[in-house]
Amino acid sequence: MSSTLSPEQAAVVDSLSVVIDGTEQHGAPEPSAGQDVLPVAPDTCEAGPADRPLPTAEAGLPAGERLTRRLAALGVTAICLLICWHVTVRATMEIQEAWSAVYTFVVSTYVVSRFALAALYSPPRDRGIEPRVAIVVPAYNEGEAVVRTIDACLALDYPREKLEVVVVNDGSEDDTWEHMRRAEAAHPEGSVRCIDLGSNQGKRAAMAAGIRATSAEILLFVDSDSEPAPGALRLLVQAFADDRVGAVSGITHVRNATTNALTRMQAARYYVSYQLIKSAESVVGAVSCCPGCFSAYRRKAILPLLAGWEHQFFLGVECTYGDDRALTNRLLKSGWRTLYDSRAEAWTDAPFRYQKFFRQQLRWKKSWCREGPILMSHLWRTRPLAFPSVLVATLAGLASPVVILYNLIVHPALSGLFPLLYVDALAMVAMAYGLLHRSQRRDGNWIWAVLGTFFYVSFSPQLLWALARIRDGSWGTRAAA
Amino acid sequence: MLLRRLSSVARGMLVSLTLFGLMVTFVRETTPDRVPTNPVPTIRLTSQETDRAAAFPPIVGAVPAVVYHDISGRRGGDSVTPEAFAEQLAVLKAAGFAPVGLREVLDLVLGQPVDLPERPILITFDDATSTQYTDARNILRRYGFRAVSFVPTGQLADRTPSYNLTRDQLRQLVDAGWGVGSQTDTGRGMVRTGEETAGPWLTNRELHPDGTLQPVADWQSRLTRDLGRSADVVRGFDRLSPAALAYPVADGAPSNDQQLSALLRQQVKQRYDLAFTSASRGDRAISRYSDRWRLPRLTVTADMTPGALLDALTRMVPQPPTSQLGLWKPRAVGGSCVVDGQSLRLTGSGYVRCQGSINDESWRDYSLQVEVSGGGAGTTAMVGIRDQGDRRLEVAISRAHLVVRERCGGQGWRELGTVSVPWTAEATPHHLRIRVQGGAAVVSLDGRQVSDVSLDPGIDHGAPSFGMAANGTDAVVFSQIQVAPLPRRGSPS
Repeated sequence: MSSTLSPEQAAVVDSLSVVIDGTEQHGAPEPSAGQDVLPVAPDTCEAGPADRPLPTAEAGLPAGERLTRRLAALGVTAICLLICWHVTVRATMEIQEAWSAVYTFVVSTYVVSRFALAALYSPPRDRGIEPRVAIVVPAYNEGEAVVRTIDACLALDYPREKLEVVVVNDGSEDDTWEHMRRAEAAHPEGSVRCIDLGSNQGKRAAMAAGIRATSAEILLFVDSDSEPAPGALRLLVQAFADDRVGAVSGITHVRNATTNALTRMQAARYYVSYQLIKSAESVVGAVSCCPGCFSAYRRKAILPLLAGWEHQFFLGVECTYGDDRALTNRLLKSGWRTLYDSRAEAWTDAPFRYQKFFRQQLRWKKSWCREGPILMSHLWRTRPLAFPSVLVATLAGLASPVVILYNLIVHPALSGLFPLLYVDALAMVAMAYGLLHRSQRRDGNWIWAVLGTFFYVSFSPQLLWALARIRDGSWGTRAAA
Repeated sequence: MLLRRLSSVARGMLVSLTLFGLMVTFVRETTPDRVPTNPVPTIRLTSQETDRAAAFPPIVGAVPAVVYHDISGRRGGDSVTPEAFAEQLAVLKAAGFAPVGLREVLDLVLGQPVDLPERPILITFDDATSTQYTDARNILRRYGFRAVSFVPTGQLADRTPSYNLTRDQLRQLVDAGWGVGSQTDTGRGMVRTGEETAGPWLTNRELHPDGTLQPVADWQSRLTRDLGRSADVVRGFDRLSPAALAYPVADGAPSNDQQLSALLRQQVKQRYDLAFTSASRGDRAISRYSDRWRLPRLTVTADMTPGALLDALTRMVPQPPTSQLGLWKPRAVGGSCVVDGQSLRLTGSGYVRCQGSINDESWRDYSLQVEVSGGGAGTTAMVGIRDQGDRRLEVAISRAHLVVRERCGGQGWRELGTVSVPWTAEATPHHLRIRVQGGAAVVSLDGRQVSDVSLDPGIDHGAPSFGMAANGTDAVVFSQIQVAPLPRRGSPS
């Protein structure tokens, strides 16, 4: 790309593509802890619902806080306008370099469109419906923790007779099965259903078995270490009042946000990803990933897709990661709409050690690399409105490691020039994230959204490794254990 | 409570200021130059020009350098119109020229192996005029050339409109493949040199109001600062090219202290790898024999047609030693000089000299054979070797003597040997053979070696010349002229 762009232009454009790289692929926390050896990090147990930040309602806030939020939103707007101005100037002044003008225009438009669409977003309306819901929980060597998960699920504020928990034992080698049976006995009949696969068949097989075993209209996927807010399920199902909706994602917060810098950055990242990318995607009815940690799916929609999803092959290897993204992808392909509900909140634990964090990131990047092109291949006809942004996000996202390495290392080394513009644009985008965060929440984490942007960019070349290892299905954490 | 409120206001202001700074930087860095670049003129060469270009011979071991200043329709000065510039580049391209940069030139003058195109050319710009960005860049790109811009770094502009290049424009030129050299920082600034005179400070010591001249040490420290600053700025733009300087003042610019030029050269040597001059007749291409700190460039002017440019380049390119008198284009001074095959006939009275106008840069080690005949009793025939005008080895034959002598610039003549010549009544032709190789010359007359001398190191290259000194009107014929290159002494080839 540098052949058609002057480095200066490339710098701007590429720092914008960081946005793509930074948010799109991380917007989809996958269920991982359900299969992890350590179910819950000990130091996070205390951080319970009591510590939850208040929902983001403007009403009832002190005047000073309201002003701060307005100013932060103003800052985001100013940054977006500046990018628009830059695009206009480039497009009109640099006719000679048509390719770079087009590139700048396309990528910048994508970035600004995320903010603009997110501003238009509103959660699905409350229709007062209460469909039957089954919570499918795959369990592998969970031990006693599985009981806690079952109890938490049944503690949700939802009519008991319309809620059941389907726990699937994926060939655990410990006493998980016994704990499951005990939990079944402790709750009223019909509310807990236990299934034993007999041998370890993988998470997808476990989930598919759970889905087939129930007849509930709506399936709620919750990670074993995810904890939905009591009223979250009631809110989440409202979107299904629309018959065209196949899946809805709630918002997942990081429960152990205060553990260390890493979890703080992840917490800010989750929040911005949901409130920016998922919001924007929801406006056009195509959320590209309804994450397995807290999302609801329509059983009718996924039943026909179940067999193909359970045994998905990619480049000749059976897929073992990215099951939520793959499932959402298939729903979209069948013409269903997928939405995001920012009112339905859940909490989950994020890795607090770098090694585990990077393994998780690698899995996400791999699934993003696999599902991105698949999504592109059908979205142009199933959801034409959402297609352009997915196209830009996928292509620019795939190019981002090269682009970042070139602009931050190769070009400065060759020319001896500090990449001022690149770093500046990056800082501006990081500020936009931070201010977006601050305009909606007051938890002191907004600065971590800024710092986290630089952090995430710094290891974005990991995508190259993900591409190289895309056929490797190992879970990483399990192999290490 | 108040403290908390104050601290939150302070934090808010800090964030706002940071964001403001980021945004201002962004705007500054991305605002494109408001000066639009001009379209490339369309050029169609005539068939004559194309033929002329196609016949341009390959250049071996040399790089002609040209210098432009301003590409515009501005009148006067060194401006070349975009149309003329495009035409000149079109003909250069048709002739098969390809651009080289400072790196290749440095390797060439250092005598290191260098991979040069078949017809290399170094295109340079002086004065950092903004038309290098608005016009020259696109025209050069159209014809596949790149250039080196020598910038007076103190004159680079920060914003447009500006007569000089802005830093941003220069950066864009570098991104487009241009090299950057220095033209000092403020070397063209003027100082008072007399009651009503001024001159560039680079070659003049300032005349203080009390009538005393600026001490040389002051002048020198100013020079050191200037060259250092300029080199730093240039390095900030172009880290890859060797450090090069173009003298911002013309050769022979007025100076009120003759020792300054030597001091200037000394400092330039310390800080730069290469230094360029310019002349309207850049009569030499750059070769391994060139003075690294006084490399010649041809100033291209507006009135130079494509044909004239090719002629000028032909003159710059060194021609290997050859016996073809037609290529020598001999010119006579003080009489006439007629070429007929391998013969040359001088006629006139008094002192007549005939010199070739070939580029003899590479005429170093060669032998010359010639039959000398004619001439009356009081006439002396002269053959010059490695003739650079005021430097040459000369063999003078009269009726009685053969004198071998050398001339080294202003030092006049130095006699190296005298031999008696056997007198013959029929005035049969004398066969003269002179071999020069390295610092030694061997002269043979009629098959007999008569002299073996060492030469002044200044007499290192040049074509032969022919001359005659007669009392009245007379004629001397130099016939069967044969020149053969000799292997370089001390080199394996």
